[in-house]
Amino acid sequence: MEELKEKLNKIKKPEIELPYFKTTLKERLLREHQKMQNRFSFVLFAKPALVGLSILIIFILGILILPQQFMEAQALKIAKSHPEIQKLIQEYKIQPTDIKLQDKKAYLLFMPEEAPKRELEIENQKRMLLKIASEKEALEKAKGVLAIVDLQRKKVASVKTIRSREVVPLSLQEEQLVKEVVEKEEVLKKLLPPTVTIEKIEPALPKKLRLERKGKEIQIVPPRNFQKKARILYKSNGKRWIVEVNLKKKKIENLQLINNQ
Amino acid sequence: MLGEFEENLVKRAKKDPEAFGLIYDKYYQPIFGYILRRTANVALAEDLTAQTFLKALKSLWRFRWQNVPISAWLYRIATNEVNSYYRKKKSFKNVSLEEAKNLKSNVNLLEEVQKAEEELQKEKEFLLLHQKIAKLKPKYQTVITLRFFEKKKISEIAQILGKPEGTIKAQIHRALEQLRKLLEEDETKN
Repeated sequence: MEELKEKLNKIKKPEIELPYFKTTLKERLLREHQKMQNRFSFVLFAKPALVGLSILIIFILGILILPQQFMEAQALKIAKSHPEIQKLIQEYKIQPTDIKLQDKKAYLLFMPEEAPKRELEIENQKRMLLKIASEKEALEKAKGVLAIVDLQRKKVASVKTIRSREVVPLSLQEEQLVKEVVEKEEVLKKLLPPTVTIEKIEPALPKKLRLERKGKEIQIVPPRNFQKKARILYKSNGKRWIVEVNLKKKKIENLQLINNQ
Repeated sequence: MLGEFEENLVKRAKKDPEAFGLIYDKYYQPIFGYILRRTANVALAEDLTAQTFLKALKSLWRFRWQNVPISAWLYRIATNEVNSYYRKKKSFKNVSLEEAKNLKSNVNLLEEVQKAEEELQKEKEFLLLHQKIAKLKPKYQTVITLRFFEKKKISEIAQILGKPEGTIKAQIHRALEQLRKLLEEDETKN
């Protein structure tokens, strides 16, 4: 054993130097050191900074959004408990469709539920809605309401019926265009008696209205890309009809016979 | 005193490449020499040396001074690299060859390795002995190399391997026993 130890101790060992490899490896390590330091700096400073920024954004959004959502819920509760709104909900099935807060007031838009459409084929060519509706249904149902809730006093300040002329006014030229469209329509000539006269022409209220903030005011506006429509109310011998005209397509889309009973 | 100096150097090396460069300059040759004497292969020793210092660099960030000299820490990494190479020879990833693609002049490196390899082949007595040592378990190869080729004290080997001195003494004894048998078998055959 001692002999082996002596052999191991005395043996000539390789003493090799690789100066070029030493330098190359050092350069490589120093580059790696730099890269790691950059990554370390990111972990140390950038990551906590990003986390901090995210927390700050969440906090700010929390401050801005949560109280707003709370106020909206509170306004809706107040509006729905108002007798006039309750009556409209029962009779016309109006539903809240939009809400905006402005100057400690909440503006709530209630619109009626859209009635299912029924199409009828006429002369194998044109398809239009031929509907027999009650006077109340035909003349009033399409109207929505705007409820304004005073959030400080916690009560409904006003309930206004939405007038189609206030939201989508009809110009004289547009009224003329409506007349021209219905005059050309052969189907109407067959369906309506020749004695009919125009009682009135009014803009049709878009079914999907929304609220928009304009400066310090909240306004009711039609949906984006909506197609303007007008309603013509005809009358003849105690009977009345409503024809709906699409001004963009320049054609009639809906015909209703109003049942007076 | 030396401990305090090394402790500060490691602290600096975490942020300062120059300080890491000082550690590298001081320990490159002993570590490369140790790996070469463990492997008896210049190209492989290059690879494992590169791997050792890269690992040292990567673990430098979480290195906590525990009164273990830097040299012991580097020898430990080098030992693990060599033993790991022998354990998983097949799955060993040749890092330096991958890195070599990025080096500006591979020709110089290859020439240097070739010359070094020729020089190594001249050490016939060492290579014959290494052949026998290479037949031992990696842990016995480690203690033999550290004790007799690197001339490390038992206490230093204990520090490098993180084992009690008694265990190291026993391992050296067993390693020598096995090596003696291998050499005797060889002599009998001849």
